[in-house]
Amino acid sequence: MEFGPIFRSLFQNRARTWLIVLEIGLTLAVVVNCLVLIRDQQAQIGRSTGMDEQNLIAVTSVPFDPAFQEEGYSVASYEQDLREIEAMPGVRSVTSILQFPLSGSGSATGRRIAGSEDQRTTVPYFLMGPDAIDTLGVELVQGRTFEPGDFPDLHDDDEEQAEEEEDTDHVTNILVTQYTADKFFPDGDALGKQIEGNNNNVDTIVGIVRLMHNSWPLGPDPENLMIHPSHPVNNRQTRYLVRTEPGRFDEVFVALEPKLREVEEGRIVTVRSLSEMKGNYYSSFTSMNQLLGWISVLLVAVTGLGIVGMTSFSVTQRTRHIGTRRALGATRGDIVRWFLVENWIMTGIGIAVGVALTFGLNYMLASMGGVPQIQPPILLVSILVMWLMGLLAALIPALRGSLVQPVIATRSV
Amino acid sequence: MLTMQDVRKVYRTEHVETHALSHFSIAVNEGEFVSVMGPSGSGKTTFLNIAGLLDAFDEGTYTLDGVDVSRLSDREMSKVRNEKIGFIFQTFNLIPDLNVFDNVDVPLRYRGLGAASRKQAIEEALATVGLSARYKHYPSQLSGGQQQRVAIARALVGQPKLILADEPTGNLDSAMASEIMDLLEKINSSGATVVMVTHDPELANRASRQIHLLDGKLIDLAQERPAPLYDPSPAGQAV
Ligand SMILES: Nc1ncnc2c1ncn2[C@@H]1O[C@H](COP(=O)(O)OP(=O)(O)OP(=O)(O)O)[C@@H](O)[C@H]1O
Ligand SMILES: [Mg+2]
Repeated sequence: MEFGPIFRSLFQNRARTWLIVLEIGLTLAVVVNCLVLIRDQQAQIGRSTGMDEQNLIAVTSVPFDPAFQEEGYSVASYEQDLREIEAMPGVRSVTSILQFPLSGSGSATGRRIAGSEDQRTTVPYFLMGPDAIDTLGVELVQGRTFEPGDFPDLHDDDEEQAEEEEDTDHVTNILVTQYTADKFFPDGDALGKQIEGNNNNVDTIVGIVRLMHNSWPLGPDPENLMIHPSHPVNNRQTRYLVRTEPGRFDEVFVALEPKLREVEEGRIVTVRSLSEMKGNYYSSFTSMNQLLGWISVLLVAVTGLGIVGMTSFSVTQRTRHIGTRRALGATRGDIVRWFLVENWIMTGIGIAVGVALTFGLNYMLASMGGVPQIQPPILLVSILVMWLMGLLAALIPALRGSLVQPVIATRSV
Repeated sequence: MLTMQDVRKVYRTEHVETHALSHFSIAVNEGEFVSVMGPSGSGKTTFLNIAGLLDAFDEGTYTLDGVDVSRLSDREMSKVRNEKIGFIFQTFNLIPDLNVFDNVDVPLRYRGLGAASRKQAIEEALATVGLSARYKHYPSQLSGGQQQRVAIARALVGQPKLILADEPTGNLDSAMASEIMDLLEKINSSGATVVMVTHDPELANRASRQIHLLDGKLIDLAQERPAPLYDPSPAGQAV
């Protein structure tokens, strides 16, 4: 084939050649890095959160009846709610919780190994009622779940229950994830060990959960979590987490609000699925991904159109040369092949440059944080797409060029 | 070598029909050097285009080297152009992105020859036109006369039986024109049939036969011309 002369002739048209080469190279670099990012977030969104998400329902009760302000009313209502929900057909278990997991809103506090002089590190936490482990559906790998004795007395002073933590000189039995356990105790002997917070409040690790995500599953540390036993009830709002029997989600979901309003009218009850809350939290990430995806598609399209334009221009510019070649014996196929090979070489150089740029850009973005490494399959597929796109983009003008009549060669200009 | 019988070529534009050739008949024998003269617009280029299979015609028959070429496919015509015809243009028509060597190489590429035999043929052709030393130059680095010599090398490199030249000296001064003419005579004497359009009577006179076109018709002056050196047969007659 005319590989040699075409290659040499490209260097006679440096500006055009480099423009296409750079366009392809830059597009490849941006697209591959976008895809790597999308792929990575998709993987994060798809991974397990440790919980039985599919069967979990989040219930919020906000009282407006002044009766709730009376002493003991909230607590009584709370206890009745738990009993009534538990008794509903299709409900496997129920617990109370201060903030919902995977929702994007939660709390975190500082902890260090008790008695050490270490810097405190931030640990997200949940305050949860009895049956927490069974309701979440997480797997306990060491120790035990909460026992009634772990909880503060509900009828003591309901106003301050939620802020139990802040009490001084108090030892609480807590559960932590394996991740958090290993973070403080890398030797794997976390069970029974103690960690401490600000005001000498000390936690004893009595159980370790294999995996559970906190309120920020797309954050940098989604598995960092401790669970404190509590009755997170007050006269402003109370939240319940309900786990249904498999296959009975829908039935429980619709029955919950009427049931709670039957128990106590003077409040607003909101029922949402945990999957929906997770979806809301993820939506900003998914729409970001979609944006990146569209940018990639658009870039490839613009590059394709650019190649169509450049090739069209060079076909028009070379009409007379095409005629001359035809006069010297080139078939239509030869003309098409000439433009395709020319494009193939430029695309090839563009891709080579693009691969270098891809890794360069990746390195740069990674040093700014947040871009994962390039996965070879993504790179290979992108290269293939760019290559095909390049050939396709050149094909249309090349076919047009092949229609140039040989008689053009003798036309006086 | 080349026989046209009652060829008619009409150019149709929106408002006008131009009868570029009508009832045009000619026979050119193998080995002849024919010069074609005639006023502007008389159909000289049209004749050469049809002779060189660059353009279709409306009526008549055309036999080239014993083959009726009016029924060939586009692909077959490309092959005939490539193997049997060498074209020389008034405007040289070198490809500016290619150096001298690659320009001369163009017709050979389409013939699918091996690199070694192509190289040898190109070197011989460049030697014939006296440009061996400039094979790496680009067309823009050459004078008009040199460019036309490259174009001639390109036309003869495939050893075609028929060389068609449309005002090959039209863009050159008389000294260069004479040089080009020498070359064409050299090619002719080595066996190729040459048909050359020119406006220069002096150059035309150097051909073995002169024909004249007027309004798309042939006026054969039927002058007695010496037969070409190697071909003992009498010059072809226009019908
Ligand atoms: N593509 C075309 N479309 C329409 N008319 C054409 C076309 N090409 C040539 N003609 C017309 O056909 C006639 C013959 O043209 P041709 O180019 O063969 O003349 P010529 O003898 O080569 O002239 P010149 O000496 O100026 O080159 C002219 O009247 C010209 O205007
Ligand atoms: Mg002409």
